[in-house]
Amino acid sequence: MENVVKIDGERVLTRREFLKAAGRAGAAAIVGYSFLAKPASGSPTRSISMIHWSHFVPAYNPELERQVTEWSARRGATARVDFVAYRDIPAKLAAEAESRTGHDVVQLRVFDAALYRQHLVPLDDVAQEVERESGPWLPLARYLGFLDGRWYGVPWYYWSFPATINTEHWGAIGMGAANVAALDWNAFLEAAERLYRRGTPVGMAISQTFDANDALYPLLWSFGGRTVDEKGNVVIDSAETAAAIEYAKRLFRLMPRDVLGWDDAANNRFILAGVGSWTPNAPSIWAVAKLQNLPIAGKIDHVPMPRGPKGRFRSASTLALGVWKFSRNVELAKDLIRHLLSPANYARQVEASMGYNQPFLRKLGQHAYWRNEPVLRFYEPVREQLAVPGWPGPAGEGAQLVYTAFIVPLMFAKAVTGEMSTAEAIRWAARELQARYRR
Amino acid sequence: MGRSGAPGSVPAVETTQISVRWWWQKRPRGERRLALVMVCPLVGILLGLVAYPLVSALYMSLTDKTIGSPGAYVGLSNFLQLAEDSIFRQTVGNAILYTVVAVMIKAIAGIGLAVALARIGERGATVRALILLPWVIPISITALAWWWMFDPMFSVINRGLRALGVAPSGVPWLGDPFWARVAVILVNVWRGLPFFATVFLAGLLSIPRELYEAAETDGARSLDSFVRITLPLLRPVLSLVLLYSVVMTVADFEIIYILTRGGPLNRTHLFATYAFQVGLEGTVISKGAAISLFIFPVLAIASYFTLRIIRRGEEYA
Repeated sequence: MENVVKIDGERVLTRREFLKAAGRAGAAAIVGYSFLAKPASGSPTRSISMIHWSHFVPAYNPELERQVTEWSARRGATARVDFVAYRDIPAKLAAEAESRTGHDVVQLRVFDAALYRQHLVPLDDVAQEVERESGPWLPLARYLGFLDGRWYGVPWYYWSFPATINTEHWGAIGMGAANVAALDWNAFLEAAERLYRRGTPVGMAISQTFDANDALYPLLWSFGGRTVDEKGNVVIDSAETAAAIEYAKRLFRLMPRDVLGWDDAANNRFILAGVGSWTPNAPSIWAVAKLQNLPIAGKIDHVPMPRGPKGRFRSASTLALGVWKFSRNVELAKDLIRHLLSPANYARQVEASMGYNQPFLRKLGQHAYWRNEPVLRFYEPVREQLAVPGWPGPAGEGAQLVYTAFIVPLMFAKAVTGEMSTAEAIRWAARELQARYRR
Repeated sequence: MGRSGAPGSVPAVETTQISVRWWWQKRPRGERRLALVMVCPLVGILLGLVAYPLVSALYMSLTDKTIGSPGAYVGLSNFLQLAEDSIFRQTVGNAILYTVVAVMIKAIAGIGLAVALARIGERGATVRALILLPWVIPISITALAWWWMFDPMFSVINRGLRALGVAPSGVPWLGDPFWARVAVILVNVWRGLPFFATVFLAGLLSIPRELYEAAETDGARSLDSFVRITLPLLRPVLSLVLLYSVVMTVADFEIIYILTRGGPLNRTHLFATYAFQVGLEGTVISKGAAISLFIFPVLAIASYFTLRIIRRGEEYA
């Protein structure tokens, strides 16, 4: 029997006729709306969107948002900052570069400017302008942002990895922060043994996490080992690398075995729980303890990483600002970058990040915050040789692949666990490096 | 010449007209047309979300494309490079071990759980609902809870083990290659077991009671009934669930990404996590596509058998 829609008892439509009519009406409505909802062509909107990682020092995010809002009000434009977890940034950037849609201003991690240069607007004018105002740039800034004679990213800030220590534990073995700051790796090993016996060990990640790169590269460098030379030739198979690994084997015995599975937050918990006495990390452990009024905040201090036979090194993670070529508001985006790098705004960013953000421009490093906060006296200015994992090789894909595949931490892990001999682990790393740098 | 076509043949223009007319006359009408129209969105979704990404991944895997560059055709170079890549070879071994062990445990424990639930009967409705929880709650949330339970310093599991005097120094759940594998398999089993148990339970309940009663009359023991009646009649459901689970387990991502990120020593990397590392974090999207395509043969074989089983089920119906 056919279902019939009736009004006041009169036949109006069959069910099928009704469905057809409703479908057509719906389709017409959607098509009509899509035309009406389309913005008027010829009048590009003055709006800027920006992507930034959710900062480890939580107080920084609202300050950045405030500065962007202030800029947008002044320029009569709309602006938005999207905060994304650090680990999710690579996938976001990849998706935006591929789809040619997304944010106007993007944060570029270590080698991103080199990797995405084909999709980025050269920012020579902005880089030169801010350098005139607050420069000169640190050598590290040029290494990462200045590629083939153009600035593809304007270096913004970096955070570096000295050692975070628990002064109470070190005090228990009769050592103050100044003593710890002066240690070389051999003397450090003796102290680590005493701390281990007291149940307050030292610890550094030897795992597949970014902190492991930042802890182990400086160890390798300080013994004279390098992954590649300036041209990208693999040079890891050396007596210096072997010495660094042999040292790590001795140190590993004095650390919790869990360091083989640590993530980036594990060493934070190691210190905050009052267990650990030393770990390489940026000052976020201290900042979080202070913000949350944890009693341990007063016991935390920062010191340089121990000195090796070939010097004292510090690893850095870096951020630059870039503008996608597909942005409809390139000039506005450049203006926002200038705004964020102005001395007054930069000073507020340093304060909000509790000194965590370090500048690439020398004049911006003269902020009083680091001098007024005794805990950060060894943090900024940096006295050790500053480098990023991948240095001194060319910035680009090879370095990025080695960094994200954790080849150096894996080399150390294979040797310290006894899965491979030192020589085998180095040969393994050399093969993996060659495969990634020869592409 | 001058004349188009030989005597008796139909001229080309006329043929076209005939075929257009034939198509016009044979065009679907009525219900058939409506059915085709209604299937269109689904076909569109499948083409857009399944076929296109697959073809795109296939193409990408044959190029040297990195994110941000167009890439050039390089043939099978990515696959040849992977054959030499020790981390990839490790990943293949991990995937086999992870899938075989996890699916086996889920199947055996799932049958046990289903039998237990069937015994409880109607009284076990609440238990049945509770058992489904691990499968219903998003894995990203529960994996985080597990991650915290495996934490080296705050692990509640280790505290329990210490309290029981089983492992005084605790178990390095995520720091030791062996225990990390145990941990990820444990979470996968915990997550997938409810699905197995529920489907098996449905299968069990569909077996006619008369068969068991007849067996009992003939003097069969419980084990005999289980082996001779339950298992054979459960086989179609069992095969279907096993194949489905193989597909889901080999393509797992979240558990590994949240708990171990492939470590320690790459012993827990699966295809998806390694593809993510190389393709997105490392930006060599072509190689990432090649890695993820290694899941494809497994999925294709599993899908083929799944479809065969479903068809056989239809024949029985």
